[in-house]
Amino acid sequence: MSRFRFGAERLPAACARLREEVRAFLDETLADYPAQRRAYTWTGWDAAFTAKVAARGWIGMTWPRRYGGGERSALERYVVLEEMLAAGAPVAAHWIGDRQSGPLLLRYGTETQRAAILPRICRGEAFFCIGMSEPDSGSDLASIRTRAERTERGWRVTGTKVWTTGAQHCEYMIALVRTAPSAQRHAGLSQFLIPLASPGITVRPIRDLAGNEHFCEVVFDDAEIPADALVGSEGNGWAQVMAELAYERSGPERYLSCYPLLTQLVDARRADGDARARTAIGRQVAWLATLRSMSIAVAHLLDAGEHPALEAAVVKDVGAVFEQDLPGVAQSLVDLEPCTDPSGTPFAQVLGELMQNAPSFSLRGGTREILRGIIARGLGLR
Amino acid sequence: MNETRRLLDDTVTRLFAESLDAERLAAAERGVWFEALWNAVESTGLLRAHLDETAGGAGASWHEAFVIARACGRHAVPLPVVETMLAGYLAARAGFEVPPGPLGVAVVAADDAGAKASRLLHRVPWGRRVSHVVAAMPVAAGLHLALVPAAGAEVSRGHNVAREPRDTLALPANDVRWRATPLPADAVSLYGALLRSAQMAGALETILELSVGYANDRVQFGRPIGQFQAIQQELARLAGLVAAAGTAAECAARAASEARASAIGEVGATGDPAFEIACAKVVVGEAAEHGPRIAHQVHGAIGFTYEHRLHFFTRRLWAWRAEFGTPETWAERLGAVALAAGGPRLWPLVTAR
Repeated sequence: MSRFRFGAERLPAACARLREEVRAFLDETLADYPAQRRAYTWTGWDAAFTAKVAARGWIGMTWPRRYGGGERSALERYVVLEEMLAAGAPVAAHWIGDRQSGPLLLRYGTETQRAAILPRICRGEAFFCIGMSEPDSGSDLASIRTRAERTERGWRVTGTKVWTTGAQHCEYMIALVRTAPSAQRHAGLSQFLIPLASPGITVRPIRDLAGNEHFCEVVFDDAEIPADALVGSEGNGWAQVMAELAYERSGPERYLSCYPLLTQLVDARRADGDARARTAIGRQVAWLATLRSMSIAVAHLLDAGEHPALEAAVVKDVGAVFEQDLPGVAQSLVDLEPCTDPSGTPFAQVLGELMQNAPSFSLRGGTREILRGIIARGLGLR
Repeated sequence: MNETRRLLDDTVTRLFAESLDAERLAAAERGVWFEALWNAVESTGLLRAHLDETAGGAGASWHEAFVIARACGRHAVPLPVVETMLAGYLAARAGFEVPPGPLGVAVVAADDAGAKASRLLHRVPWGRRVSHVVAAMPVAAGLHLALVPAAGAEVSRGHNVAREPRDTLALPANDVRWRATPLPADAVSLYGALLRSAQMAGALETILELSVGYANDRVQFGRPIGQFQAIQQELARLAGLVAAAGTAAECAARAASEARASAIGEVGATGDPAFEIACAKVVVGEAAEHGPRIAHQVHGAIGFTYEHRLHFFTRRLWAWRAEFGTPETWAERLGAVALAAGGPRLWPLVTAR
């Protein structure tokens, strides 16, 4: 008996033309885009690029037409995503809205929320961040203390969210907050669609170890938000968040974060006949192709309406190991000082960026330890 | 998995699960041959399912062969099922009538003239039991094959670390008649690696099942050891390896099923399964290195005894990892393809799959 539902399905043949369209678009749009910036992959923020992607109909492409979507399949969307990531395209501005916030609103949002916001995501106008972690609540998400209380006009939110990627650029946060004290940890949580321009909200970027400002601290100091900001049912936040995570954990971003480094490495060792280099690079290619097959298998399950939370956790866990190995593999094959200043070669710069970013790969979106706990439970360990 | 393959999986699983326990696997290692089980496998047509109907087969694909081979690995089937499937395929492609009974495979080096080979066939799986050996001789133009009767050959017994027979056969005379084939020179390692990867994926599933079962049963410090995070984390890692191995092996089988005959043997060519088969042997081979370590660590000392059945699977994984090309050998082939393509063409190479 197999424990998992990973099949060997291909992407449908109909995707081939779309893939060529995306490649042509990327070749043209990113012709002069520097290698070092490609290393940011899906943390690279560029609203102008997002506008161009939107104009092609590649944001919200699976959503209903009445909300501005393209009613295309999840597998077609997969093709667009993996092509963007492999090219190191700066997709961060629309990434969260397209992957997570839009689908959440489609599933749990009110008609008013959907009609007002989804078309703006599709047009590349409304950007989203996710408010889950807090200073005292990382892996233990259910322990969050940010709370929302009903007021006469809506809700009053108090607390602090942290590690919120892109909050300084975003119009909205989808936040998980406590709406009722509860002895049961997973009860009393709700999700809100919070306009970040509301009074009482302060967004402060946090500098990461590489010197970049990708994530933020967001402080809610008696922030007043409207009554219709609630997403889904009051008290159902935990279940809603868990449903989101299957989408978050199995996509191509879980094994392609270091892809620009692999292409640099292949080019650097292209001309030589060293068996050690061939073996090490071949090993990376084998894992890349296999992770892609696993990720596509999960996309097929999602497309079929299944809930592959276990398989998604496996993809992210195995994918992070692969991504984090790459900087070390590259350094073992090329005598090169990593750097990020303009004096370095593109290879040295890509290596410099990615070796510094690599620790985050097994932290963001659920730590390695939490994922392995989920997998262990899925195996029937108790 | 489609419905046909699911039914096939159920059928072979039932056949093997009912016939094989630790006692019988141990008996096989002492040299006992399970004639009744062999006859059951042969009479159900499993050995020829993947052959064309003209060759006495069912016209099924490598994907069905994968399902059978994976089941053999899951149950450590101590019979040359997979080897007979491989030999039958090679023989049929060379235009030989596929003989009944267990078949072996051997690769022999050509002599300097490129025409004759030694009369020794080395490390033939179950050489002592096979009716015929498909001998394969890579030559410049491709692969020459001969269908050699085993009767009359002098057998020197040997075995791999899983105590599966790997015998050397000395043929009575050097009168082997070779035949040119449309197969690539590496067809034996190619399809051998495909089927071994499937078996290894099955054996990896079993060591995961045994480890999870043991972790839930074994009590220390007053609770099942599976409740300890240290154990859970390791078993989750094993699960990831098992999932990757299963996916890689099945993708290789799918690719082989879909391959155009003309493209076979060119690793980078579109429609050629060598890329996926190489990926499978690399990923499955790595899983076969790290997976058994975790399984044995979780099982503790009991798993290191001959009495416990874990070793029937872990020793097979260690042995099979090196057969039909080590992960390193296959990785080097893949790396050569990637380097020849170059950075910008690497992604199109991967997504052409």
